[in-house]
Amino acid sequence: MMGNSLLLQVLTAGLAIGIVITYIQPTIGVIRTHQDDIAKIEAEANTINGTNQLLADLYKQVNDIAPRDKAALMTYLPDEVDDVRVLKDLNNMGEDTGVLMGELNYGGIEPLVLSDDSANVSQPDGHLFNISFMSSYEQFKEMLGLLERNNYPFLVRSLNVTPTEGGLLSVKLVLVTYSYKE
Amino acid sequence: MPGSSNTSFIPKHTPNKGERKSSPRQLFLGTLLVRILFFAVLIAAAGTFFYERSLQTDLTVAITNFTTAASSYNADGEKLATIRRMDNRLRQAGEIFAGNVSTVAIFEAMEEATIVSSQLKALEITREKPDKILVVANVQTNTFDSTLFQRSIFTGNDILSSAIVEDVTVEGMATEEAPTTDTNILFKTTITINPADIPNLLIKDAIFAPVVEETVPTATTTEPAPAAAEVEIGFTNDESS
Repeated sequence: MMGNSLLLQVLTAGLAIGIVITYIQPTIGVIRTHQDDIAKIEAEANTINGTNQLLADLYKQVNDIAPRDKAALMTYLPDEVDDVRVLKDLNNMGEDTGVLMGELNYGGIEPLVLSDDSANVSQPDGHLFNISFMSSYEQFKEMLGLLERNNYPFLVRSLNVTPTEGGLLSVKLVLVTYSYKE
Repeated sequence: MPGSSNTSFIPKHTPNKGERKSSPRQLFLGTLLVRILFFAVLIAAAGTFFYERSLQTDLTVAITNFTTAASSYNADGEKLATIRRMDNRLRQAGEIFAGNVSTVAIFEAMEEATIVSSQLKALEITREKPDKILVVANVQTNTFDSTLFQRSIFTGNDILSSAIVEDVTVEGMATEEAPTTDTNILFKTTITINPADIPNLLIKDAIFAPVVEETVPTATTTEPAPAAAEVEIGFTNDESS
């Protein structure tokens, strides 16, 4: 065992201090670094796991949308607008309401900014359709009603109504419908 | 020889005197502290060593979990793209739907706000901005009182309240040669409408109208559309209104 000599005491104390300086203190630093790293990595892992869970929930929500609703959405905002089909729809509406169709043509595409909020995502393309017809006031309103109730939107860009000599209304409409492709 | 035994310089052994006991080991405070310090340092060194090893293991586990979660996230890229596509489409469709304005509602408001003695000679509706609809109506009346009354009816209507009457022109002013000529007063009414102020007839009717089986034969539609005849808008061209 240790003796009591002063030299031995000094050596023992020096050895203890040496162990503290050369091993314990650096190891405590390493421990702190490890603790910090573990906390950061676990926090990031938790964030990723939370995101993965959210992703899984959202993906389930998307998959749970009824095919009928998805089809309705694709009808309301399709990837592409078939201008011939739209012209046919407009013509059918005119026939249903009994208006006397005049001009009916496709006016081309115009990009449209709907709002400032959607500036960071791609915007839908607006497809213009020009239509003119003669009708009574009731027929005119019925035509507008059909346009509003269509399964894809017809937004009225401009509308000009003028009464004619025969008591009918001369109507010129510029309509917009949309397609959206990322 | 008396006392001779005590004079010897050789110490006598006294048999009744016990063995000299060795003195107890002395432990000084400093020595004790040094020993305590030394053993404490040894224990601390061992403790830090094992704790550091334990943390090293925990770190490895944490990194493994992180890598697993990250690789799972990367593997779900297609899911994310699917969600994003659906979200963008829904958002855009929602904005289009929100920006859709019932033109019928504008005409309904015009009917309610047009007095009997006024005639609409022309009407133009323009969607100038997503949040601005401009309605310009050329109106004809036969007296200034009717013009003033018409203006008050327009401005009293919730949707048409921004109506501005301008470009007032008098036609057929009576002269000395023709004192009984009918007078027509023409004016232009400019109305700026915020689409948010217009009720959405589509939503209203979707809630309250009965289901109508009649379909509109549209080539690109998949769902039956209700008949437009559901909207019954009556004229209320009464000056008392």
